[in-house]
Amino acid sequence: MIYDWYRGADATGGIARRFQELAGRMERATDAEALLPELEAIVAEEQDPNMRAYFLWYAGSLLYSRNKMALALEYFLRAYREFDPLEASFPAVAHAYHDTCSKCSGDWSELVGVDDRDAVEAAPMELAVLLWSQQTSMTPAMQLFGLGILAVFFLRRAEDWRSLTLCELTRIASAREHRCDTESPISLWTLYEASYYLGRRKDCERIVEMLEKVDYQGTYLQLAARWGLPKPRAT
Amino acid sequence: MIFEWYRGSDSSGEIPKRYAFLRQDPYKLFSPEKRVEAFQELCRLEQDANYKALFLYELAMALGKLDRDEEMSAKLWEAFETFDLLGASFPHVAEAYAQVAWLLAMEWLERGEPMEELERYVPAMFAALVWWDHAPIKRWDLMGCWYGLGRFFLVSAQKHADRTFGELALLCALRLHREATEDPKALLFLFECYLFLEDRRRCEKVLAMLREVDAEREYLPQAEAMGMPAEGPS
Repeated sequence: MIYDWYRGADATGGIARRFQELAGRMERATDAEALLPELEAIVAEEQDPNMRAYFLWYAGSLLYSRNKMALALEYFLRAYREFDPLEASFPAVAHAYHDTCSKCSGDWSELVGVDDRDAVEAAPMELAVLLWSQQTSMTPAMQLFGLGILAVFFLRRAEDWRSLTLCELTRIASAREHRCDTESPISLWTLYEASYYLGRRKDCERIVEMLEKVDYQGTYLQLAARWGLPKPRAT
Repeated sequence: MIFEWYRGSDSSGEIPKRYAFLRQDPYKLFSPEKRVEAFQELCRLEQDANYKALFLYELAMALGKLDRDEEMSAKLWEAFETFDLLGASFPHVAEAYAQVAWLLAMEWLERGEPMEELERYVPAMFAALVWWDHAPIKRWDLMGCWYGLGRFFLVSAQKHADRTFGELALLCALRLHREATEDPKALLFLFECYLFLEDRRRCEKVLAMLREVDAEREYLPQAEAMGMPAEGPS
């Protein structure tokens, strides 16, 4: 069976055939961008949202591999908005969805100077990566930056809503991040903030000890000094 | 080097020796009651928080074998709170941590999903999700965690009128639905998420699926009673 991967709306197989042929040309072309209008035509014709997303993800991946970061990000973001996990065609493109979420949220976007997104926008993408990680070869240990984003997102909401449960989620996410990169002062600082709100005084003291060894610029140590230590919680 | 895996507080080697023996003895020399006593003793002797938590987990399992479920639950909670995520010995017991977190998450389901206790269980659910790769936890094992976490996100979204939390809840509901497409309970949860996000088109779609699969008519009436979002762009 050829074009077995295709789960779109075109029963004739025409879209799948055209995409396959175009993908081959794009991979061989030195200037893949010149072929994007053809891909756009296929996207416009396709009625299934997940297949549209798949085509856009493909373009994003190709541009990403050619170091065309700004344009790649545009395609990944368009793909992200198209994916619809409720549709029957979704399982066939779940891997592309997972990769799209990971790419849209990652810190690599700083390279292209268009990063106007913050943790609020990135948190759902990172949760999606975590939820779908068992479908791929990616484990939470490979999601360092994403766990950090989730931790910061939960922490800000915890502050706004005075929620100890969200502080706990922050502590769990940043502790996992810390265990994967034990010398990162950023994850240590998030861990400090969560531990502070939870009244975990001993943990705060230990984090400061670790920061003294790895926070070479002293940024987070200054913050810790300003915050001080929490009062021990009665419970 | 024997007992090399042990990173606890006992430099004499006595604790790992006893633990290794207990682990090798599959209820042959020790009766279940004796196992309980032996693990209680290990918990008492061990000074390292992470190894103490590991022994508390083993004690909980031994209590479970005797159907002492309430005590088992108490020891699981004690273990969960005893694990020291910052401690140098933690990586050596991370599997037990993930296992404890997952068992607690399952406990919420087994107790009939009491919403008033959800916040207590949510950290365990999240910990299981974040550490699943350290334990023999498969994706279908995590369905309860997706559901519980999703419920927590939805409750938070409704309480604080926060759309991002609504989106987090929807992600959990969709993940659950994709694993159990004909489960009416998961469909009801999905409906609630779309309702919160005012996505009428998808509410209708989920309602149609519920009509198809909710043979007992247990969840469909609940969804219908919730109403539909207003007409408009979704």
